[in-house]
Amino acid sequence: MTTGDTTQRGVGVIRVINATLFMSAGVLRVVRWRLTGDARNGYLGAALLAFGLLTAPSSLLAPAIHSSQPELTLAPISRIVAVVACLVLVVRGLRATAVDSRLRPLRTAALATVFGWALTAVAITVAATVQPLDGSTGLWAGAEIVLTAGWAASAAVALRRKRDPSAFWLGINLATMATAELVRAIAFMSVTTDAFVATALQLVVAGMTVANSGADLTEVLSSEGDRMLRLTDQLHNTEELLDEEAREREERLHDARSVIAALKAASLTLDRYEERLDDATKHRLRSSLVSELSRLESVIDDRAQQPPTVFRLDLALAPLFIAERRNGLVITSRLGMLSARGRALEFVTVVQNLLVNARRYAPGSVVTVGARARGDAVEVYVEDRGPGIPSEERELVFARGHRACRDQTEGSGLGLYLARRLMREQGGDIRVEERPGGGARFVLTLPGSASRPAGTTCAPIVPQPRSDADNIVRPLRARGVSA
Amino acid sequence: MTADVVMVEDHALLADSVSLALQVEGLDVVRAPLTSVEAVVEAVQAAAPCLVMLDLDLGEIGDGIALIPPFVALGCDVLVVTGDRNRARLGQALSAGAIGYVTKDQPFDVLVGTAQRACAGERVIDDNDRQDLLAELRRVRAELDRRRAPFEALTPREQDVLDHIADGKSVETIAAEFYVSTATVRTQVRGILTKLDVTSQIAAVAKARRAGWLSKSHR
Repeated sequence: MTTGDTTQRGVGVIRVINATLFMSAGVLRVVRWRLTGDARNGYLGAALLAFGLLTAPSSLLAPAIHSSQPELTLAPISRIVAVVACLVLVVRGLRATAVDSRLRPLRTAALATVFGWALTAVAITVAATVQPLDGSTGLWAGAEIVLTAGWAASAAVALRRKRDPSAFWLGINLATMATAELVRAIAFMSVTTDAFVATALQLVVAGMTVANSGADLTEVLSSEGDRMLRLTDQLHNTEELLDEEAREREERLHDARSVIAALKAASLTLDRYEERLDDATKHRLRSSLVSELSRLESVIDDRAQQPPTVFRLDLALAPLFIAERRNGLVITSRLGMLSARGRALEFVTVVQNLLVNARRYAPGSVVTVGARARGDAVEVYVEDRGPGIPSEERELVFARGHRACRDQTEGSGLGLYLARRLMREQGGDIRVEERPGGGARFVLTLPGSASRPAGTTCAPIVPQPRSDADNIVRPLRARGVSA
Repeated sequence: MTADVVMVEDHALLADSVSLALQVEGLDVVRAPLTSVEAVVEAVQAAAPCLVMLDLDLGEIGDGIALIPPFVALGCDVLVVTGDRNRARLGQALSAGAIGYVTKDQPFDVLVGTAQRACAGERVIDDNDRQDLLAELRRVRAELDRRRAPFEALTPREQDVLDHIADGKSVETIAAEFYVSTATVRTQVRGILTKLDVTSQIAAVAKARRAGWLSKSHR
């Protein structure tokens, strides 16, 4: 065995390693393409796979078939085909748009490989019959020069994309490949320079390509993990919002149905038993009918955007107090004759919410509803003598979906969230504090009767903060999609 | 104070009207205070009526169906008065011991008439209708059981992990919270996916939601 043979064998082994590394890098690129769908990675993956697959057999077989002169037979032709295929795909990748849904990198690589092998076979047969290959070192050298130019040109294309770090590394690798090709061209012409250098250079490129592809993939994987988490989270929020929407709608329908049933019942009772009911009862039923009708209106006209008006607090709340007292609640009213500016119906809805809460969380407790003027504004307080709300929960209770933890009953937790929204929409607010002596005190503020109408700079309507999930749901709602 | 009928109804005007109508028809009616479950049961016990007219959606007190057994135990007939047209739920009320039902969209006369007949000890429900409702209840329950069966197969720890995944937490976070290795959590996640016959965590969460499985905090 001569030194030349040993060197050739060494070169052969390195080439096999190169081909394997290129294929590995190709697989990494294709995996990345799978995750992000960006066309450049798809094309680069296809290019690397095709290059590896096209160069592997010639690296393996060349020494075996023509061990005396491997460089001058099978290897060059298949190399030329491989490089051309690779370059075509790389350039396409560099020019590709962000996402190409028709791209199938594995199929592209397989097609390029099969086509390349066929082309190689034809080229070798033709070349062998037309003239013996041995004598044409000049031809090969010329071909290598052309390939060098190809590598160099694509390197230039890649390096021109200055703001793209992955293109930068691609450019460096392509430039190194160009250098290796040049060395190989020189090796054809002068016996002194060894093809070993070229192969070693390619090994460096193969290694760097694997490293780059790996790094890219890791980066995508970690950011993909975050993205999946965020997506799951958003999905979760969206579902929750849709659930709440559906529940809200269901509750409103249910409300409307029972209000209608009550209206029918009351009017029929009035009609049928007119003579047998005393005047006080009839009067009570009639006034209940009226307040029930406005309740129906509020249920149907989801917070119709009427302009705020000035209204007397005690008069607005009187029907509610009657109804809640009949439900067993003890209410002390200290409203005086104060007026406020807002939407009376919504204000009453909020107070009703608070009374129902008091009935539930402070059972048996007296509930006091009072009011006082505070500068330009009016404060209405609703206080009970129940367990109160721990200070750390006082903001939390206004969050969407909040429920007190001891509560086992089903419910949407929309009560106080909606209450705050309703109050803020009419230029007021709601907060909760501790009642001196124990219990919860909800404080509702509204612009006073002397204040200028809301919508002017004096009483700004607090904008609702919107979450991402809101933005997802909104278009769905607009299209009438139901949960 | 005894009465013939106790109304357990959270809609003041409806309760008022029905009470007035029944009183005019010669029945003593009282309304139970809706402050708590105990207060309602106490009021019924004190009144010892022949009939309780019960709304199924008592708003803040919760599901009226839970009140049926205690009322039956007190020896009362329970007539369900509801706006709910869900037939499985009506079936549930019947199987809990209610003698019949009136939906709120039926004419007021039907409501009053049914209450009167119930008080007189007459049957207020057609046998076919009753069988239908109970069959519907069985069907819905079977469907629910079928959907929940794969979740019953989860170990308590896997259920915890599923809850956490539904919260959008990563395997790493869950592992840190449970003081176990990520490999352990991954094994549990694989267990969940296998038992639920799904291929991704998102699919598992979606399936759990659809089956109504996820614990209260997620609903």
